[in-house]
Amino acid sequence: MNTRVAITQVRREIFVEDNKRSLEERIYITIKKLLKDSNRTIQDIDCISISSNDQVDGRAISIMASSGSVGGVGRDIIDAPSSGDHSLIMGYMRVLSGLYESSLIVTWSMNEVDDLKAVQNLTADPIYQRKLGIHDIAAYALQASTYNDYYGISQEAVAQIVVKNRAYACNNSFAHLKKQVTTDEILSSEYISWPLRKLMLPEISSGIVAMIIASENKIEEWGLDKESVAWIKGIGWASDSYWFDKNNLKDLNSLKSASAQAYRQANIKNPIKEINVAEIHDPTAYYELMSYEALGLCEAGKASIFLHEELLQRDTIKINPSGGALSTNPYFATGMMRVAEAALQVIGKTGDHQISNVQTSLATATSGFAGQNNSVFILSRD
Amino acid sequence: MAIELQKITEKWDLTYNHAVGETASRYFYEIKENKQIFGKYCPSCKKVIVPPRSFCDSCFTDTTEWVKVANEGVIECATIICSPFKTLPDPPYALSYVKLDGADTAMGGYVKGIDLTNIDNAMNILKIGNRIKVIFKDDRQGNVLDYWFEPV
Amino acid sequence: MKKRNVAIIGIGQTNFCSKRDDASIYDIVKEATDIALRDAGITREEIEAIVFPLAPDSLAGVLNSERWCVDSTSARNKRLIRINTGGSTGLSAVQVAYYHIASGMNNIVLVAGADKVGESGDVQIIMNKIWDPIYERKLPLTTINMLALSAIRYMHKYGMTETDMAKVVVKARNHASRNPHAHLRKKVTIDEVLKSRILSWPIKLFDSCPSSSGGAAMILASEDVAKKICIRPAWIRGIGQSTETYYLGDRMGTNALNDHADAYALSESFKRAYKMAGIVNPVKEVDVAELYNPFSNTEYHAIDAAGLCERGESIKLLGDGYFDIDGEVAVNPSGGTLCTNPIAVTGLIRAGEAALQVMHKAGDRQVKGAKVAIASANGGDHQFFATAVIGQDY
Repeated sequence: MNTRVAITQVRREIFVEDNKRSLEERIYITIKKLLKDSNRTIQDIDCISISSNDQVDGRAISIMASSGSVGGVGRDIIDAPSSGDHSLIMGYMRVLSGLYESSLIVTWSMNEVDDLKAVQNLTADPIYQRKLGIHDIAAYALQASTYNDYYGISQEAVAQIVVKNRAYACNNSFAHLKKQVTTDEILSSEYISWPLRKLMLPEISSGIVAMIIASENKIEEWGLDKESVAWIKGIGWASDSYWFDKNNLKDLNSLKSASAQAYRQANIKNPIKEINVAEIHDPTAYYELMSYEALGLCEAGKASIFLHEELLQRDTIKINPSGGALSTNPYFATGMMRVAEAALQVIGKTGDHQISNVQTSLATATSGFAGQNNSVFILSRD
Repeated sequence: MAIELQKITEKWDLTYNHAVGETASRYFYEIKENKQIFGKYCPSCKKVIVPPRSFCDSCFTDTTEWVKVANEGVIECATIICSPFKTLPDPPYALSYVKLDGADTAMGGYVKGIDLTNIDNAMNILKIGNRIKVIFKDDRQGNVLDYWFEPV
Repeated sequence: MKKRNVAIIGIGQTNFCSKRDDASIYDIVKEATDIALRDAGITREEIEAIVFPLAPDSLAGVLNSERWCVDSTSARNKRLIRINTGGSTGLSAVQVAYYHIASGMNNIVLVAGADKVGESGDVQIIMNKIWDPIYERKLPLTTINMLALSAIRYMHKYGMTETDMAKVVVKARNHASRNPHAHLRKKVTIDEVLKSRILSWPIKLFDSCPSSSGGAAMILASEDVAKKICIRPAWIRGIGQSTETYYLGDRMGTNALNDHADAYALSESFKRAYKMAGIVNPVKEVDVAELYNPFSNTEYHAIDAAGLCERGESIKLLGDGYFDIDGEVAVNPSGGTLCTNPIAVTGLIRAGEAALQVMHKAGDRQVKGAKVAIASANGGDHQFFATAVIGQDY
């Protein structure tokens, strides 16, 4: 068994579409660049852990053609399609177990399908939910409205999340949407699925996130500086009920469970004090607010107060300095973008939106209707 | 009261627009415009890959030159499909992987111009190592159905 | 830090058949889970994490059905990951469950899934979509003719005949007749196989696996837990995985190491599992082999790849009864994939059957004195190969 595992290299790519290259070629180019950045070759990598979504890709077993692109030929490769970030969770366990000393972690999302909502609707069971037209946005809307019914939240607070994230994105050269928006613009944008307005939701882009993770032994062998990697201190992941009811819509139960696991493993007792930067997966503005509560940054129902007092006034823990998913949303790979950003903040290589003196960061990643699944990652400099 | 066990029928209709990429696009262009088949060379494996790919997955290296291969070659394996499958042609029809002269990998395609009524005779013509040639369709679209194989 | 040993303490399988009109995937996963929990003697509350094998979602008609089956697997507020490596998914899922425990992240992990291949009207249309849209999908490729092409090359290289293929089917059905869970249990003769209709020459109907529906589950546990609650756990001594190039045409030409006739990446995968398990001489040390064989011809190259004989030698040895249930090394005493193929869990069943054998819980299909068993599963276009070595000791 290994005792510690770190993310040693990160590469993230965002683009809208690429007609010059096929999906497989685009992934290959990213991996080659990642290896070049890290001064390693594919031979140095022990195993490959990926997450790909068949229906987003339009390939019934999406790992097939793409396996060559990620250096899979002759190597041990496994695919966890349940969520983009499960690639990292699986890779982490592989290296922690000691069977392997390093893993390549890859996830991607290309915008080749005509109707993403139709794909999402197919996740709904055919017996009860599919004919109701459930898809991601409809489910998030049900959730937002339940949260509001139960706890109450002002539209201005919701809008402020968007204003904050979109303003941050203007400092991030990787972001997709780099234009600020005002509260007025947000609250007058059309309803997509009440109460979610257009500007409270992200747009869709394409993206690839690739990382190298390694054990402490391997990091020493590679001669890397142990303070320029992002040590994985704690990981938590959990799933909630598939069926919608008040209890699983008003709170993000699986995020609460996942964060408890991660905090326990990382020995975090007071998240606000101990975490410097959090990249919180925000598929809608409401979701980010609900995440503050589930992560224990504030009590249930008090997210808007936390937003005002802690974030906007006292500016303590920085949340989504990359601009979040609201600014950059490569759909299936968005969760891993959060982890990538959180890792780069600790490593010190985020780029123009680097926060200074980041010791510990946190990332969340969600998938499934109304955040059925959530993962939490805690990374630090030592 | 006997309850009827219900069934729900679902048909999926999803549309994708897949980028083919420059490499495959050029391959199809040469077939459509010039009835020529090209591969790409892997400098590390020292192999000509047909159909061409922009990188070799075996050694994880970029491929380099474009190499024209012959429109004739050798059967690497072939089979005759005798059972019907939805959206596929009515059986019987033959499928083969052929290594064209100059190529180091084989490419797939339909085989036509064989009497398939007697399977044993037909499989004899489709034996591994037999020579075979590429026939191009007159009305080519720029995809793998622009050509098929026929015995020499 | 010391290596953590991982045991299998419970296995569950439903009885496989073409259609389950009485139950949805959601129900079947629960059925299989319940059987495994009873077998292990633990409760749902004790499950800490779940790994859900699921290959092409479209086969069962619900995408990401691990989400729907959260309650079937008792995954609420617990860890849930789904795996997809095509046909090898079930065994890859066991490996991921292994990593949960070997890494120290968990002590009791459930692997559970189901499939309803028989319910999908259009299996081969879906299978055609596993190929990339650029070069291969417009060709009439299916898993059947893809492996018929392998048979053609194996015949050319080693002299396998249609009768040799039929012998595999006769053996498989004989074994399956002793297995209450198997889908196709009716014994057949060589003649009946040879007379069955041709699908893609030389593969005939009886040379081919069925489209099965049903579920399977397995409970894995850490050493501490296993020793407390299980009388005779099965220990996972080694796991391996390796990958072939996706491109069928690259596996041809003379003297290709990875010739489409053989299963080179499977032999590499076994080498890795054997190394981890400390197996030096497979023929002598392995008692039972549950090798993934969706078509009769593929059993031969799987036996070769498992190092149970030299390449091509398996043909004569099988004909001599070497691989029968009471032979030197019992190959597929359960009847194998050829008799039961609920795609998402077929790989899981291979590991489950291997475990049952070393636990001496395999009923009428028990191989006497079995101590060490191996399992394999294939996925994609004969591309992903997962293997495992399972024994009475670690």
